[in-house]
Amino acid sequence: MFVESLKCGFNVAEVVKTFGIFVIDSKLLTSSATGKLSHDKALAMQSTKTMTFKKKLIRKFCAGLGMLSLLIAAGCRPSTGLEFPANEVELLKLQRHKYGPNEELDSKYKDQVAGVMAALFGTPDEPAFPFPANDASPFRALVSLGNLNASAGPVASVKDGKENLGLYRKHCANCHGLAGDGAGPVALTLNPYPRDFRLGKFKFKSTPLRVPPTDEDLVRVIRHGIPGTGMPAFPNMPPDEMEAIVDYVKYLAIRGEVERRLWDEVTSLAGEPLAGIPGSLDTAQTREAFRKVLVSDPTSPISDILFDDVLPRWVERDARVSAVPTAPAGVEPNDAEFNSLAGVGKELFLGKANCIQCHELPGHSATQAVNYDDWTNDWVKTPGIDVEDKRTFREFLKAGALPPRLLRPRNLTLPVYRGGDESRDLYLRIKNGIEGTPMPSSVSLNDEEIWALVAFVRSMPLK
Amino acid sequence: MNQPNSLSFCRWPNRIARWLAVVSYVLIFAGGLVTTTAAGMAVPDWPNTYGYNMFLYPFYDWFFGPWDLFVEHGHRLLGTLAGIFAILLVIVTFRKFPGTRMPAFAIVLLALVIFQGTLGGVRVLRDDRTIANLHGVVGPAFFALVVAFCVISSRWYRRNVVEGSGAGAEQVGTGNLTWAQTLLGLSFVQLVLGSLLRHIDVMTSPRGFPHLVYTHIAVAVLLMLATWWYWWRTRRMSGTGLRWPVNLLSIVIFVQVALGLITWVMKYGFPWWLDHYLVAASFVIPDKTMQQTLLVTAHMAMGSAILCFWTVHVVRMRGLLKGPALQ
Repeated sequence: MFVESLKCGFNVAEVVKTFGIFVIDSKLLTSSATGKLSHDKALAMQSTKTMTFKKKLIRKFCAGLGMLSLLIAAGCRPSTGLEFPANEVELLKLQRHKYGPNEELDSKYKDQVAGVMAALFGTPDEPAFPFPANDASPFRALVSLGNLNASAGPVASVKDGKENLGLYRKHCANCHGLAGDGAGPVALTLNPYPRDFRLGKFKFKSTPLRVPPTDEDLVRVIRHGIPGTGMPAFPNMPPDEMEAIVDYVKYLAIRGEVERRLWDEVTSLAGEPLAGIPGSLDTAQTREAFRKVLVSDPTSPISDILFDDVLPRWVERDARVSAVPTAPAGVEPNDAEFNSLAGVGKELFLGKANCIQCHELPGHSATQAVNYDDWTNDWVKTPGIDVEDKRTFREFLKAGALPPRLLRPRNLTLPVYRGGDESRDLYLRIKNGIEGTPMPSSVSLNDEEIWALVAFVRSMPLK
Repeated sequence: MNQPNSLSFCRWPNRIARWLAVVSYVLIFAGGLVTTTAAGMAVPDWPNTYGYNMFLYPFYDWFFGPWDLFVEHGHRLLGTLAGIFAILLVIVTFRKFPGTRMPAFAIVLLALVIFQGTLGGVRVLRDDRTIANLHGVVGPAFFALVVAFCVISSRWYRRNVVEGSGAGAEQVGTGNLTWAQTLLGLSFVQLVLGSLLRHIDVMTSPRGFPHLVYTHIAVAVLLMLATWWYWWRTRRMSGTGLRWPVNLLSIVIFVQVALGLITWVMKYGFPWWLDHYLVAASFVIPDKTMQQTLLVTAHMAMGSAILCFWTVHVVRMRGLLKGPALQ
């Protein structure tokens, strides 16, 4: 921190000189303590110097502090003007997959991709969204620019503190990172790692695999937190701030997905999708003008990525919510049929559903092989990487990847369910699986069997 | 020049310094609340508050307004109160301690209050985490200096050090002074580390933070063990006025380490290797709740209390061993 302070340009020599007077004083006393001077002599020497010392002390100290204050005020740079960091891990992975050992993408394409991303989505301080030109388009309702502006930028308040800005940096960025890459400053100290939104995958939701979560799903996770993880609950967050943060999370996820698709296209076609795109888009005006061009050209590959690939998935999610049938009698622990239904569930757990493959039971060991989640598998399955040998993926760590960590299947003997502890939540976890993890969707089970499993899962902590 | 012994003792500088110490400690706690609740930018302007002169900002809007505004504006008002006490201290010290270096010390305190206020203002105007960090470190340093002033201007110091009538110097030993000074310094280093952890910037690499955490934990363990060892080492120091701060420290250091662990859990949850215990597996971090806010802030404030007790101990011991300071 103090080294960083030096960047502000204050005069180090003056500060040293200012505080040096204390050093002189302490030297005198130390000499006394070590016997080089008698104690009385040392005190006498000090008292004869008192008046000049006092003047020097006051003058130098005040001068030093004044200078320090002024130079800090004048010289430091505010923390604005940030750019989203590029997804270097994705680029590295794609290059390893598609290019030869010593080949890599021309750096001019990297600048172009950064320019396109800034044009489409703005910056962490000035967000934008590639809304289509057509006002009636369903994509227009995905996020509100007002909400993005409330969440983006540095933390601030306006209107006598009644309107807060910079909500994402205030509540989320230390864990999830500025770009939603799950690599914020504290990420390495958390297990599981904070979610990387850029894959567009979310664990606890009411929609099937490969369908993004609804707004209500995101609100629920933010409002109630996730037990046993670093994800806090925000019980006191006002609804408007919650809505703004939900929109910003969607924005970061969509931005991350678009960037990944863009890198994929660019590395596959050696930069062809970027033909005709200027290399520099460094002002908000040029970015906005360019964004309008990009979103209004239906033939451009970028338009394809946006309007045929990424955004439709987000628009369709509300229609894809999984219906939860009425639970039969016996699912809740106080139902008379609970034990018999749980017994059926146990048979399924050990047999047809094969839950025992990962989740241990007393007296039954899991048979599961080593597993990682999708956020790790996404890059560790790159050719040449051996997760046991750090030397093979050091380059990825330097690019921003977090070290691989093994998954730990839930301990079902504890009544703790991260995605919600109602029977409905357990039904959805079993029915749809958990996105991004080895927990599969149960395509071979009917509703009765799923409810029986729910009853068994509920019965386990009671034994 | 007046000799120390010829000065008639006046309690007013000490009384005002004590008030300044109390206000400073409340100010440190309020500053801690500001950081814990991320309310540092709740008021965008400085020295004004939403365009009003700081002192004329409507009471109702402040007291019954949003929490962030309440904390941040309250912190500023407390800061000005500390400034007023610092000015009073300079005036009274000049009148009551002429011919000593005490007025110079009072001026240093006033200069530090002004510097600290300026840092707080610049932190808001530039929205700069580095300055926030510096602001968070200068506060406790200032508090420790005020405590030192309280000790030097106290009746105990007068009787035992200045007039030299107190017994017990022979029990102290210079080795103890070296240890006490080292532990005082280490406590301050620990406070700086804590400040760095609290003011982490969003662009900081995730690889840096764990190193800071481990260093903070290592220094905490070292300080706790060393404090207990020092308490044992100085067990025969009773009756000298030096013992009670060490007794308190031996308890407070344990409370502080416990608060540190609670702070971690309240901010980041239990370590994953405890998740086969229900209490850890079911724990949900209660972000920005009063419970979290007070516990995390208490950890920060306890750090300053530790600095205070070490300062009392060291300044008194230095006085007994090396003669009166600033006379």
